[in-house]
Amino acid sequence: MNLLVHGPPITSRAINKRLVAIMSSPFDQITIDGESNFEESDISLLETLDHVLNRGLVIAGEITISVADIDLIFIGLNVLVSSVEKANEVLRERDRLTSEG
Amino acid sequence: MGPNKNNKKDEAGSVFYVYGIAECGPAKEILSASSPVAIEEESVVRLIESGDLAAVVSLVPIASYGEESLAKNLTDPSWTALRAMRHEQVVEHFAKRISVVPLRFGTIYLEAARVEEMLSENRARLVEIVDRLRSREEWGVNVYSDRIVLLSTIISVSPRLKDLSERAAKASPGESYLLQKKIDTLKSDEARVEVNRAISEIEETLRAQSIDARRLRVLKVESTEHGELKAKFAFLIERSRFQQFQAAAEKMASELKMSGISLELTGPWPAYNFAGD
Repeated sequence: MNLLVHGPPITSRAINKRLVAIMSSPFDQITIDGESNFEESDISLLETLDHVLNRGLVIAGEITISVADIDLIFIGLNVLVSSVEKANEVLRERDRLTSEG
Repeated sequence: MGPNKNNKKDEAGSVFYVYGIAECGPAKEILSASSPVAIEEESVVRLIESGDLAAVVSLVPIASYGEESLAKNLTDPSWTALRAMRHEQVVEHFAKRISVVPLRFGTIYLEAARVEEMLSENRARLVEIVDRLRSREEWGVNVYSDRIVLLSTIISVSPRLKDLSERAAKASPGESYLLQKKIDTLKSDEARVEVNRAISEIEETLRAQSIDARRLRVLKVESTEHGELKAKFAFLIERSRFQQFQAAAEKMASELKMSGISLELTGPWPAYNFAGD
């Protein structure tokens, strides 16, 4: 898996891609539904997971089902890291089915 | 049952997935202009209001998001990947326009009334975070080290190593072998020192260009084209000062290029790493 060469378009903002790759502006470039560019965004995926799964404020209360246990997420993330390729396949398949159906 | 009787029918077997918290007025405007795809696409992203704050939520089936089923679902990479991306897209939909307190993946409330309670009970703290994050964004900096490049430069940089390698070249085969062993050990020691020095320098330099900084844990990712991931930082940056930050990062990158150390800048992100702790 070649993590750094893919990624959403970076050229417009990357002064020197080799040195400082300004990749994955997640604000604009990650799209997953419809015509997916999932393949291109596998780095963004990992980065996104890293941000989304493990950080942020959790306001826990008695009523909140506190699901995002660090350990749990960590295991999930490990699984993901090792199988992003597989996830891509599955998602492509899903997209294909969605666009057909 | 809370003040949301009109939606009761949709809500059978559903719970509230909360993406983030924002100021009510601006969030409403955004949502009326365009709505992002919810984490479960058949559901609709909406707001639960309490005073001047609003939680960005959508309904999700308890069958998939209950504590146990969510734990199980999270071990399915394709399930999690898709949901995490959608979560991110919803947060970004707001974060790129207004100040948002991003919540972590998987924050679930059983009833709208509980979300309202959460908003009103934590109001002071939430308002403070919203204010702190205004016109600021998070940028990630990843530091990679290319060991081969680093090891080859180390020998030309370190006088001690240079001396040893000259001696090894002239020595008898046996002695040369032992010297070479010594050189190798020394090389990786010095390489490690150099990487750590570079990481501290990067942190210090970029911290000076940002509002706040966090060192993040490093995922165990295989080596990449740029080498091995050695450190990961998140910086909170004033939007208007991003160019200065970027310039500083590029300067660092060009200085460190010789040593096989490279930087990668990612963002802008919702301020996940600066949303309280």
